Amino acid sequence: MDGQLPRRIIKETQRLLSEPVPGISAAPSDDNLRYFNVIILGPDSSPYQGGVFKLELFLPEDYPMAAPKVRFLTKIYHPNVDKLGRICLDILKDKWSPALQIRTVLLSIQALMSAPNPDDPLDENIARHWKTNEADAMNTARQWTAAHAQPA
Amino acid sequence: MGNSRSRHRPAPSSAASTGGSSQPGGQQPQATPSYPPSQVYAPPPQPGAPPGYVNNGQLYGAGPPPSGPWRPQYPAPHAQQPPPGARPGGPAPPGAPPPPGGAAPGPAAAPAQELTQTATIRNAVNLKKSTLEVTPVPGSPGRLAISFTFDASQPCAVTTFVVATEEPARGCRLTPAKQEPAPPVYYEKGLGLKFPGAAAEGAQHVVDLSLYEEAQLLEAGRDTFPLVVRLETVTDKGRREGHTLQELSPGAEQQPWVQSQTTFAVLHREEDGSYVVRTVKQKIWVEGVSYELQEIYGLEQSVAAARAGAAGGADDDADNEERLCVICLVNERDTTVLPCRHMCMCHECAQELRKQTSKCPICRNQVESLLHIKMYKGPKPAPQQAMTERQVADAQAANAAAEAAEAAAGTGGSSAAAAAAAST
Repeated sequence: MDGQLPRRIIKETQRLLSEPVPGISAAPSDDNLRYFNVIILGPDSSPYQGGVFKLELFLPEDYPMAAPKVRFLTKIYHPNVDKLGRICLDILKDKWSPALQIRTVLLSIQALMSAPNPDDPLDENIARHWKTNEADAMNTARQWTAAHAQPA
Repeated sequence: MGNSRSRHRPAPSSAASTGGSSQPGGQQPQATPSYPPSQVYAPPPQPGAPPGYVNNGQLYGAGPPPSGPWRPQYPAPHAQQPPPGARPGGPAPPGAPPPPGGAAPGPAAAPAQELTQTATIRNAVNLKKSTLEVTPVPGSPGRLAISFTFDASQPCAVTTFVVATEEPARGCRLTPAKQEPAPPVYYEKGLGLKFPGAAAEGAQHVVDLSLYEEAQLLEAGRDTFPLVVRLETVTDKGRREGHTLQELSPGAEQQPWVQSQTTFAVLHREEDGSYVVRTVKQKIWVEGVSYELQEIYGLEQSVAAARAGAAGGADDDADNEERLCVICLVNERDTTVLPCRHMCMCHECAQELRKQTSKCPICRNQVESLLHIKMYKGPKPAPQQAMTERQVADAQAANAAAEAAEAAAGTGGSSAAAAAAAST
């Protein structure tokens, strides 16, 4: 292992592997231990149910003082995720605290999938869709899940 | 513990964050910025952005690397990290810590420092707040018996007062409004002691409802409280000088040779007419100084850990995160954020944090100061007979110092001293 990797990151990694969060897997890349390949299963009773969503998570140099960078790689129809997969989530921005960890961040993202927040949108169009016709928006989300978020 | 020196020292915040990058030698080549600096949400660069973000219908980006060489635009951490020799600071020990158990706990320790060191006070007696209650005396309507559970590592005298006024300027003397204080009840040291217990005097510690207007029992005044309980012990020094508990008269001005804990409470009337007790505050009196006890969130686990460590258990890796610094996940928590009283960091990370943010990691409230509480980690206790003494001390540590003392001496400055774990 990289001798310079902070103990905290090593510990977090070990725990992610040994006690994974249900529905979430996160493993560091072989050649960059700060880069994680993440999979979040679509939460039950959300339009993402049955989907397998890939994300990337990167721990910047000043982590944990700075938040991890997280992004969806799998396409997802969600008002708080934009076309590039970027996520609008306060704890990834101004509400970051060094007491949070990789696992808590991923749990928050899982929760955001269960409870989209169209009032604080990242993608205006999807948010408008969500607010004007939630059933139809969820339908689209289900279609996207079926089209893009299936296990390889 | 302590031997795991390979601890994480967070690198100085890259460029932007809070202005003061006061770290000498901490400068790093500002590698090609990838993401906006942390903390502030700046909208990420627009369309021109990352190459390879072609929507191929399945994934954003040109296939992430299950194994492939695709690397996002993050800088390689290896290249960026300064060589070990260039590490900022080094494990600089904070200024000479006061010898544990040493000089009298001065109420103020270098208030100019952001990280305040504490003196350790061994709390000899502790009333368990949640056990304090008043119950009707059978066959004696209008009278409520006062009862509670407490720990004592020294012989102690218990006195109670109803609607009493405290005079901080006069040794925290207590003067009851109506009822003469009942005679003290004396106890040998022990854990989980019950008051009133079997002693005859115990039955005299009652609230006589007929003497008071209800408001007097339900509300505290500025220095007047409906129910006050004082547990007093004689300090070691006092004993050597020949003082005894029997010299003490209830509520008298406290002397330097007395160490005590006083619990101030109000009564609350339930809908069914019964009374419950609510503790307002607790104070301890040590060597002529009065401190108010404040609970510190997260201290209990740390005390338990210190105990386990002293007992030779709990290896570094059998750790539960509960007691580790939330930032490095390596060192034990020893630093409390004030005023929110979250004990969540080690002092090294705490100082690092202060350079970058002014928010508590737990509650995000403003950090005004940091309080470094030195946990006692003594030698392994000698087996057998030492244990009892130790258990008392540890139990004290666990419950008493679940409420470390923040100085409230006199008018109570911003100074701080903490009563934390202690042992012989």
